[in-house]
Amino acid sequence: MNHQPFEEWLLSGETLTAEEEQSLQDHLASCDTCPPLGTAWRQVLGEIKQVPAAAPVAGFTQRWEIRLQEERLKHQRRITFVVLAVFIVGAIGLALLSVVQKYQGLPSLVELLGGFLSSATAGLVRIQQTSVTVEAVVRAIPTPLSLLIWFVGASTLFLWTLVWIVTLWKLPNRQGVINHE
Amino acid sequence: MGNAEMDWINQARNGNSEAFSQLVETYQSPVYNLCYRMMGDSGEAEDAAQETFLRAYQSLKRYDPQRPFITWLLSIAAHYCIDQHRRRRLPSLPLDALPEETIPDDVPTPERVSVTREANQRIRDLLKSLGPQDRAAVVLRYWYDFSEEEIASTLSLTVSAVKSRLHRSRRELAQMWMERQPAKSETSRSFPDRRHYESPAF
Repeated sequence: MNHQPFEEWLLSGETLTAEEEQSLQDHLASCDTCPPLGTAWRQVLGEIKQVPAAAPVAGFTQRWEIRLQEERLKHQRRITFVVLAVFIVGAIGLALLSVVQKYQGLPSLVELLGGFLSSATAGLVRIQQTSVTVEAVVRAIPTPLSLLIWFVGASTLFLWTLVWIVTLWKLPNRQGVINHE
Repeated sequence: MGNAEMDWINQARNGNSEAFSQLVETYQSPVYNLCYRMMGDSGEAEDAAQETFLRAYQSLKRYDPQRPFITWLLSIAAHYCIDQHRRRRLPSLPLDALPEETIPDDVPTPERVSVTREANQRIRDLLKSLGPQDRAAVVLRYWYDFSEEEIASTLSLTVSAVKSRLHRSRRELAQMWMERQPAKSETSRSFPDRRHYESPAF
């Protein structure tokens, strides 16, 4: 037996013309499959009507605000990481490029390493000379002025640390997210 | 769409997350309900609803104000839940995970609560037999009174595909019901009036 379109009419609940309604009733009277199917569907709909809408646990909006802040922090960290990675990769690339340019044409790896070591030694010597010069300058400065310089330096370092800590504390606390928790 | 809602949307578009919080507060229940019907578990539903609002906030500039905001939100939620089902291939639902339900205030008797929970359990079991897209179509149709056109727009399907999915889903649900409750179905075989088969949404 062909159950269409009667099954569709039964299940969809669409409005039928008088003629369609009559043919549906005729079909139901002679069909063993459609009547129980229609009844079952009616009962399913009854259950759906009986079930209330599910609601989230109280504080959903506050939890969302916290999640938004966490996502923002993650985003900032990602950006910081990408910028750092770009800088590091760029610096390594430039260093390699400069080494290659400087020692291009050297016949062997031993000479390449020798040249690199001599450059490194020269760099260390320059650093040592600079530190000696700085030490001499520091000794030449009168004691009160030296203390002042130390005081200003330490204060600046302390202030920057304070600003950093306050920023870290303020970021997640913005919009009172933590207070809602 | 109300003026206040449009104001919140515009402010949120300009980066004001507090304005968007107002939208979250307003629409948390319908979004959560859809996620709960789709996922079948309150924890999963909470995650999905939170993710829905996060995605909505991040793509708010793409929102078309001609479209109802709730439809747009439900569309994001439905797509997210369908994706989750496809990725995880969710196993059967935990039977002891009952959700926070909004029980009507008028008759909060223990019997009423118990009956409602049993009905809720039966509905969850029935819905989990459907595929994610079919389930989304059924939920939007019978919990949100969406028309077939609205469902098509929300789920990015054609209207004929929605009709086909709804018909298949109704049939599956009815057959599943008969298999699980044969006695009940047999006792009520009579058809006094066709109006009884019509959707409760109307």
